[in-house]
Amino acid sequence: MDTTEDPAVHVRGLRCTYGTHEAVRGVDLDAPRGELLAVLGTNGAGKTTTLEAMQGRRRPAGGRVRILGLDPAGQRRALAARIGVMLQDSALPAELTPAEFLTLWSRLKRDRPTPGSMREQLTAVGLAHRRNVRIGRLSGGERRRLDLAVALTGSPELLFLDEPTSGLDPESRAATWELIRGLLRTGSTIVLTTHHLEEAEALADRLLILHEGTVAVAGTLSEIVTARRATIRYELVGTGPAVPESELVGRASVTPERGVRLVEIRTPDLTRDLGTLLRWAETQRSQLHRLHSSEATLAEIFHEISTTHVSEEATTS
Amino acid sequence: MNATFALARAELTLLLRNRTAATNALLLPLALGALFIVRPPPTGLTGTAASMLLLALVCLTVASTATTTLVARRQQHLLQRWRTAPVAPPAVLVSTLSPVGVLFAGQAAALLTVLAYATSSIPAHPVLLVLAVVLAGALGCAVAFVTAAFTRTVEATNFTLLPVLVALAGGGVWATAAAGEVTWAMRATGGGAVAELVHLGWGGSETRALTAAAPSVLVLLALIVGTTLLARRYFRWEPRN
Repeated sequence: MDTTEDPAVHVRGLRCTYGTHEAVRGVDLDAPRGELLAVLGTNGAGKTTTLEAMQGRRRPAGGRVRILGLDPAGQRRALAARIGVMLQDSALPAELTPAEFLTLWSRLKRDRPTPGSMREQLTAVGLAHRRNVRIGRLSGGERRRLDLAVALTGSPELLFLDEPTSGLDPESRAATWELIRGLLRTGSTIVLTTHHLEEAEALADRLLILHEGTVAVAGTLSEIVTARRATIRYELVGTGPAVPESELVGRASVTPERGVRLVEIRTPDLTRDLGTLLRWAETQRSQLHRLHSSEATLAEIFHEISTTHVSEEATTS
Repeated sequence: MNATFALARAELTLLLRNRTAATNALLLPLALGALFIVRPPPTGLTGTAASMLLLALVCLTVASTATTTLVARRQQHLLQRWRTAPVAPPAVLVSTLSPVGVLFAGQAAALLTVLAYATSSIPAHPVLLVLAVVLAGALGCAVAFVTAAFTRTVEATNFTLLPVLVALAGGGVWATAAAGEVTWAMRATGGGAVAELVHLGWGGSETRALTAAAPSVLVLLALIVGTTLLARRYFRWEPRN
């Protein structure tokens, strides 16, 4: 039974295969109601396959999937009436107009379209003036925005947006972000995949990074970033010790360059280690040039994850 | 039902707005109709003309157009799009092909009427003729599903459809040439069974035509069920890589 306390999306141990290739290998994820979950990953990480399984378009090889309390594989039609889907590829018939296609889609979703509601939908994505132009004559960005309007038909409880801003210019992207924020304000739940990390940072309540079919990292942006080591960097002149005689030694790398030594320390506790370093420098009367510290960025975490397996393979081969 | 009808109507609009498809749909019956009126088939060969006509429509209007439509919709990711709607998969497929079915039925009715007018003859067993049209159309659609399952792109239909068209048209010619001695092998091509049914429908003897039609009807039903099961096993909704 579906209750409002249950997460809109609940997935445990999801496995999907293509022949002998296992594209998704034991994925767990939850998307609480009213939140936006961003699913990130490199090409082939299993994002779209995971989405397809959640929408009932692909039968999983294993695991448990519950979307709005329904089993997508067995209750696809009932689920389809309650969700909105923006596909990765703009799957739109070139010979129809946006108005015709939205009318058709409303009928398929058993929604009763009125000229006013349709105009509102098209206005929301900036396409009202193009409503009677054949879709084949729309630009790539316009088609993407029409895709979004289609996904919004019938005010779905849950939206799946597969790379919603790919191919959009910065202005349209900003407008789409604002539209998505508006949907979240009205209580919609959204699962979004994207290649744009800044998009995930700007919109997501929770993030999930898939890599080679498994969940590499999951949580809020703050949880993910604070769980990773921050970095302290500085330059030293002279030949004395480059780091304090503490556990920092094992986490520091020192690179000589043009008469100075570049020091980089990876730290799980930035405040503590920065304090240790500053006290040491004062005692030693060492000048730490160009000292700066930074938390791990999502881009660094993503890069680290996406290169992990590749470098491991390179080492073992 | 409402969703299926809405989808079918959209498919019909797509077909009519596709200039090539619309022109072919109009030109083929016009050209053949004009030919029948200018040069009617000789007396005694009306059944042969009718069977060749029906097989031409099955090959060109049904099998070819339906396969191309399915492959094109899959390439455009439209089949995937329809799968995100609360519509049952068989309803999606039926509505995708229903305009082709309507077009085929219209063309067949118009051309067979023109043929009857041009030769001043009427079918002896119209029920058999209608049965032939229905079964031939269904076979053409089933064959299109199987062919689409093994066809990557619209361009590739030129190759994948070839054996199907050869079997349908060639089987029809083979059975017609047999002059009443139609074998199971001829019927098994599909085209042979359709040709036999049309022959019996147009000029079969009063008493034996219905009994004589049974083997062809059974073969056509078996072919339709068999190809549908094959299509069910191998048909893919997403583009083939």
